[in-house]
Amino acid sequence: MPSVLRQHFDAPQNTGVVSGADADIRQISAAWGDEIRLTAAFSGGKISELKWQAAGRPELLAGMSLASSYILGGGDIDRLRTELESQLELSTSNHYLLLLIEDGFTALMKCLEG
Amino acid sequence: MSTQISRPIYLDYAATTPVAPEVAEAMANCLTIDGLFANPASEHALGRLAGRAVEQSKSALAKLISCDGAELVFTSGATEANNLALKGAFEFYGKRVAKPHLITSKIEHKAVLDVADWLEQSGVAVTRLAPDANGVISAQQVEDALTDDTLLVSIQHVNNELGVVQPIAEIAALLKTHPARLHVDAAQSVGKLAVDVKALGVDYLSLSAHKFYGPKGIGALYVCGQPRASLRAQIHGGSQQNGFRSGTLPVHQIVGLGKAAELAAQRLDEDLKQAAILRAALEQGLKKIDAVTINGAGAEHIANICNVNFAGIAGESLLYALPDLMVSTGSACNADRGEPSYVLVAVGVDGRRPQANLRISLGRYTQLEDIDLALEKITQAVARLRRISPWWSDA
Repeated sequence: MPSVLRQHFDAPQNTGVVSGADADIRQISAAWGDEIRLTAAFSGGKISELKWQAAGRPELLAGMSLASSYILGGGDIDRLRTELESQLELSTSNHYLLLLIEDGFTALMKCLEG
Repeated sequence: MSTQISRPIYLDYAATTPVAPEVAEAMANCLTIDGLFANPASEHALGRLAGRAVEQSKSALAKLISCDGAELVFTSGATEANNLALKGAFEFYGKRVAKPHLITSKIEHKAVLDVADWLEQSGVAVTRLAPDANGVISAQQVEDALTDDTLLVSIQHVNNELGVVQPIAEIAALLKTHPARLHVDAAQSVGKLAVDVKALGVDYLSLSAHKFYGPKGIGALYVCGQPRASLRAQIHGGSQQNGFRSGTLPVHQIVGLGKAAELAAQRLDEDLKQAAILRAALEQGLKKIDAVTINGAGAEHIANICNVNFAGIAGESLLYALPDLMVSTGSACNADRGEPSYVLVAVGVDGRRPQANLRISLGRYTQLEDIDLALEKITQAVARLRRISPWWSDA
């Protein structure tokens, strides 16, 4: 696992559940059972607060930390996958994790767009 | 950047054990020009010396499992011993019945299950018994599965994932009135439990040196001499070991096995006592963690293997969160496939979701401080992963 991901696994960013969230998204990998939960509060057409939970492979937990930081930092959802691919260096068998994370954040952005 | 390991705590003795220093020393004396390097089949003086070392090692192993040295066949390990027993027995006895039949269980090691699959493809009928929730195969189940065509029953002594001890003596007793032979994979019990093949009443028994502080690459098959159990050789070429297993005898490996057997016999009581103390401390600490299940706890089990589930988190992440703890998720043989453990599935546990499973196995060099440190790290890691797990917050 690349060091950036080790860091995100050991000290994950933005974990938890937003109370009174405007969006509560869950995605499950049918093949592997890995699961993510994204909760967010919106304000002025933007994400004001974002937290996540996840259970599964360590790459998923690190990936969620990385993705949430990226999105909260103003990152473009269309570039999220590229960003994760460049950082995660996942093996082919773990590429389903990218889809899981991307699907979760895409669903969140749709909620934001209303 | 590679993972930094502060001080590795080895708690995977069911996967393999380190070679005991006394064993390594004995082996080293068999390798070089000034040692017992000669071919034990050679008739010159050095060959005879090497041959004598082989016989002494055989005697040490025979003493450990209470048999005669002539009843032992050296192999490359328990996997080969299992192959030799199962394939060899069916090849020898197979033509005596119309439809040769094997009884085994769903929780055997792959070294038996894969051979059973191979035999099935060769025309052998195979019954795979399901264990109860504790991982036990009962003698009654074996009796119910017996047919006139049953030639062999193959049940492991101790399960490699759960540590559950199977009722081998009871199974052997019921087979006294049936012509079927009994094979026991004892890779996890020899050197860790008192194993007396005569008292157990087995016909074939497989063992592996690296499970009890000997080297990898050497094991043995016990083949009962009285009443005589037979089999056909599976490796030909040289007729060593009375033709049961050809190939130049690896003196250093055999001497290593013999020394490990000698040490195991000497230290068995001490090792068992230590394992019981360590196990009690481990279980006591694990039970302080919320929503923990110790698998196989309701059955007789070997002290050194503890199989535990932690609700609400995934095994892969738990293992990753414990970089300096050398433990397994289920059987190491399955870990790299990302599949649920077939043993845990067989006893009704979902080996992958929504709970993490660890097999913690203790050994001769495990200290109480190791247990304390491991418990501290496990407790912290489980709590940390549960804080961010939707499975745990749902529960």
